Amino acid sequence: MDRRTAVVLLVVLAVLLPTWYVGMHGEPSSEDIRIDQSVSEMQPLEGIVDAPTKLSPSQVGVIVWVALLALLGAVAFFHRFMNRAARPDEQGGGAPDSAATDGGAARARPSERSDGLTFPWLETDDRWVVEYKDASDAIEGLVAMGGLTVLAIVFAALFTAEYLTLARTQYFGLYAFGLFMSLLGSTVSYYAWFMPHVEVAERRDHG
Amino acid sequence: MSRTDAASDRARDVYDWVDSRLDVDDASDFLGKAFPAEDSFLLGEVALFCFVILVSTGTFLAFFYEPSTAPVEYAGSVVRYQGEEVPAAFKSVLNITYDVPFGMFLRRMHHWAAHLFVAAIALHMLRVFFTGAYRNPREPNWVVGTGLAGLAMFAAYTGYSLPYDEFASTAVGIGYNVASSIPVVGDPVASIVFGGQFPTSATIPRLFFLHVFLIPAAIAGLIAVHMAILLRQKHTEGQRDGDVAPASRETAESARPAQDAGPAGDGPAGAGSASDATGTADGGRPVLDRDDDSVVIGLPAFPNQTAVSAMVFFLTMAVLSLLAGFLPVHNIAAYGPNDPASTPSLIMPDWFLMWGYGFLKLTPSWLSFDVLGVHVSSEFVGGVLLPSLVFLAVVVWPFVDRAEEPEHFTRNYLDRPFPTAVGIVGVTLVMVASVAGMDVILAEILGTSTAVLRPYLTAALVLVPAAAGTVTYWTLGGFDDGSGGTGSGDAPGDTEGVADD
Repeated sequence: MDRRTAVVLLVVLAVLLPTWYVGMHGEPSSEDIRIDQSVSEMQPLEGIVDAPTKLSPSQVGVIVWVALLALLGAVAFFHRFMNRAARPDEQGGGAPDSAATDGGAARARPSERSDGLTFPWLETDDRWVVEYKDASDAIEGLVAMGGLTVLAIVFAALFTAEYLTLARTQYFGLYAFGLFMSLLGSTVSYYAWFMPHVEVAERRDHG
Repeated sequence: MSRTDAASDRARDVYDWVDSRLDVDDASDFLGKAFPAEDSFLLGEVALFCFVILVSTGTFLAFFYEPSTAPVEYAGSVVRYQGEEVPAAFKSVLNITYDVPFGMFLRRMHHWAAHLFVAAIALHMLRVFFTGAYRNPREPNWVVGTGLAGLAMFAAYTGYSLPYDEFASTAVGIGYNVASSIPVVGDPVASIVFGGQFPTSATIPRLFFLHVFLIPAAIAGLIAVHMAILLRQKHTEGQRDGDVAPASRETAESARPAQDAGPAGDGPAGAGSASDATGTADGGRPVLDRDDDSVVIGLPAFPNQTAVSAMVFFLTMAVLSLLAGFLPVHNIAAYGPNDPASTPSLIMPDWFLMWGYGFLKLTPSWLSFDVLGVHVSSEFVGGVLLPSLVFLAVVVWPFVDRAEEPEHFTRNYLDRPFPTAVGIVGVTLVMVASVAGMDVILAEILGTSTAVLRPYLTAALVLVPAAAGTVTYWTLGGFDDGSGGTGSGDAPGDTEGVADD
């Protein structure tokens, strides 16, 4: 890391961490809410782990920023995975990998694909393809997508079953998380193994 | 004819039918729009998806919510309130939370999405700020984005009050006092927003209308403007590693042998060698220089960027699901219904308004004064004037750190000592002010009183941002050359004279 970046980061953290430390000291947990089962059979508070009963706005603030930064980290991770796996010929010691916005030269054209698939909107008077890598279509992609599709179906079924029974909130969260992560995995797998990696250059046509 | 061919023919027929009515072929040009593949550029998408989730979950909640403060007897499943008279709004939110399947989950998701929406907008703005992406020609979109940030905060504020619980109504009451403190127009403004002296029977319906219709419509409109400007101006772009391949097929063909023959490490995908080798060999159209910002390079909107956006959407949903499933937010059953006769032990606004609350707390009462017969109260100075000045500074900044010529590449914050230092001053100012907003908690941690802390917090509000800005400016070499590094530097395309202030 650049020394100057480290100093700027330290300056920010020197203020941010005490702010978060104060923010995390919110309200103490209150007594659990009791549900009258003769009125409703739902058990929204029943869960897998003990969770706080209430959070102050300052605690919510710290949590949401940590969640956003984690989300960004995950985006970066999956984005890199998609691009790395989409360039199988560069993993074996061929030409060096390049940044996504490197403006690399075209090697093949969409119109040259053996399967006849074309993307006519990619090449217009003001836009052209500067990088094209065919998908590997590797078998592991098929296995990953198949497995993740089954997982998504399982989580969707569990989510529905929870709705029809106790409607426990923690379980909803867990099943929805699993469902969306499975869909995410399928999308990433499809991109990585079955989607050609294309980059285009486009004239700005504006100051 | 196989089934696949038949399905393909039917799809083409449908497309032709739609195309004959709407001329969608012309619009298909949009499908290839280039999105630079930068991770931080996806923050705007996170915010956009949060808004979509907010509208979806908000629609669900609105089916069950009753915007009324009329007292009703609670007969739901929460034992603590059974048989009690509570406001109808409070009762309806209790029902949503404990008696409607999905209710607690979707209500929490709505809350967390609102917080993530504001945080994503804030981080998006910080990214734009520190990379100088607000400069010519993008000043209008910066202004629109700032408006979106303000509306997002106002949307959250109006939603905060709707359950009409003790905690929220007390916090919202502070907002009423601040609004009514505005000189001359304070009472009409407070009356328009709150429907009279808070709390009245008109308050909740008024805030409900603002929260579910007016503000979301304004946000949707501004998002449309934001996107339209983005489409017209196209994205900024990070620095490239090499030259850009030429447009024509002939050039690509002629470039290929050269690049394939290029040694490993000779630039990205051999582009550098290609340009060196071909020059203008294609009959007049040269390889575009890496610093040429007349083009933007990135993933086409369809199919590649669409897949990336889907990835961001699923991740956003996954994070919100986890938060909604395991962490409560605004647990009204623990707070109880609004009680005008009592005050909660801890009063604070949402975290993103905490800095404004900090200003309010630190403004001394002697700052109340009269000007030409108009009373200016310390509530107005701390609660309206100072936060407004911060927002004003954000809005006008692109016109201070301005560029005469358009800039399409992002800048390295290390090369811009003055804007970066100003950004650090702003960030630390907001954080210290937020600590001041939480002075009750800080006093409890330190085992002292807020009165003792106040002078120290006031000093910190001035000294900490000043020190942080100075250290940043010094670290980035701002004192070395005396230029201030307002924007010019080593950014590509910057050599033809960017006029900085």
